[in-house]
Amino acid sequence: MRDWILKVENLTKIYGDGCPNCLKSETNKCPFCRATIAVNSVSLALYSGEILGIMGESGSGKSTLVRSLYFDISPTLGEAYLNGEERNIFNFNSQEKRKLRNFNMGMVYQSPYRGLNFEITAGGNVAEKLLMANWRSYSNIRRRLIDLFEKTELPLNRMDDFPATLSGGMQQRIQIAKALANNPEILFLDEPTSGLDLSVQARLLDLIKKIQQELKISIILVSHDLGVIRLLADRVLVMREGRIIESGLTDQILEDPQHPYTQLLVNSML
Amino acid sequence: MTEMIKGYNFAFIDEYAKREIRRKILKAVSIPGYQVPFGSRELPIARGWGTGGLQITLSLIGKEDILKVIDQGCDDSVNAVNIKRFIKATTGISITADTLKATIIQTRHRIPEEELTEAQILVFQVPYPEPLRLVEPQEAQTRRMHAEMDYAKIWVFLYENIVKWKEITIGARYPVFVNGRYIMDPSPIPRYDVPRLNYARTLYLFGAGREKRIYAIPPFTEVKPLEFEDHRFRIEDFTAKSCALCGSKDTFLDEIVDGDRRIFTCSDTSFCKKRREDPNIPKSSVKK
Repeated sequence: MRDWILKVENLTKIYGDGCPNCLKSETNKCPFCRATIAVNSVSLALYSGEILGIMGESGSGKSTLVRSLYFDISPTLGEAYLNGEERNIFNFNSQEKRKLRNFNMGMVYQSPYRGLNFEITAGGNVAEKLLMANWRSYSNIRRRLIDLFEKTELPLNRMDDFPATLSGGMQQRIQIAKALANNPEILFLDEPTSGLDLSVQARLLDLIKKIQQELKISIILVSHDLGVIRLLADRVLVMREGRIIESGLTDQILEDPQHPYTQLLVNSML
Repeated sequence: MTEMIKGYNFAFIDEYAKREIRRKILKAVSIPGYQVPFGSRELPIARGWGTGGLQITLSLIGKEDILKVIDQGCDDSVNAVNIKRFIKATTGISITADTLKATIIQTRHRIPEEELTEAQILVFQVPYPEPLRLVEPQEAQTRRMHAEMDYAKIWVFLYENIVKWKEITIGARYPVFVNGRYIMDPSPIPRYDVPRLNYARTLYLFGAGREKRIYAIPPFTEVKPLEFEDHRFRIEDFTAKSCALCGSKDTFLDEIVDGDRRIFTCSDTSFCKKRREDPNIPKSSVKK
């Protein structure tokens, strides 16, 4: 068995005051206090070099889960550990969390408006990560940007253009370049290809696969698109109403789903 | 000597206010470059006209002090003259134009040419104390950024400057990194004065009355302008130019356009006057 790189235990995110009965709730709406339990007692482990897919319908808590791990959202309960670090990362102070975000993790959001700053150039967006890591030579930064733009197949002559002038696919590539800038160990992809047309989607998926094989990076991939999951993920977790209802190897889950909901999900594939 | 106004406390503001400001100054000196909030008092001068610097001066000044006030190097401009008259009227202390004789110097946007000593205090009037305001409009965010040393945004600004213009285009108010911890706004001094903040012998105090902040650079503190290894900070270029009045080649010059004629004169008027009397007078009288 390979080493785990990120371990999550009983992660819970409740919107609202919450009550002792929330965690027992079948749905993501607590019948007693009406609080929303976006993520309910989720435990998982991410192993080094794998792509872990998380699938489920809208509102099942997929995005809340990865955003909690990237510290965008602070969870109500639960713990998460990085290999080699004994403390629960949710208890880190904000400076330590920022450091983890910058050096150990990368994130690609579904909407580039969330992941990029549209006031600064495409190159500037990626350079921000390098500047956070104390790169202080302009020419080295430019060289690294060229490197990253080539790796993510972005046209170099668009480096100094603003993200708003670039296509949706390019914007996602900038997000990927930004996420990879400091060679993180873990990459979170939150619906990276939703909303793109099929050919652009296919090329982006190829790129993710290629990067993952080259850099041996561990990825958590959130998608409601079973095609994307089938293509990329080694293992899959199926989420519903904030809980993990089924997990296993991708082929196993997609070919022989056990849980009635997963069966429904797989059968509704076009 | 002008007559002192009666009915007011020495140096106008009350002793409790002075005590608060002194305490905030102590805090500022203890944490170089950190902006300390303070209760900015009402003064008979509008906020934004040097009230931050004035409150620092008023709370530090004693009967033995000798005061100099300059506005962009000039002893005789309206802002400087009004502040001098006000302080004179409420304290009765003596005023000088000679940089070396003054114990406290209040300044707007310049550091005097002559090197200051440990015995002196330089008080800056600051319009905008927040160096990160350039890239972040929210005060709550800039405070968080300072707390976490999250300075990437201002570095991106400098990076984009170079992308666009091939150099950093900030003129006055060039952001500096103080004591390896805080990025600080040195007030709108020209770039020429920025290197003179580094390891200076004098206590530098900064007061922003409208924005209600006090900060400081204690003597012998490292102050570095933000720069890239391959795009260095540089000062204004006065090559082949000299002061039309005193002939100095080593001072910060103001450009004056007079019809078709463009001449340059020293921005520091009192030092220019000294140079006119003795062209060889050095800028530093400190023995090293």
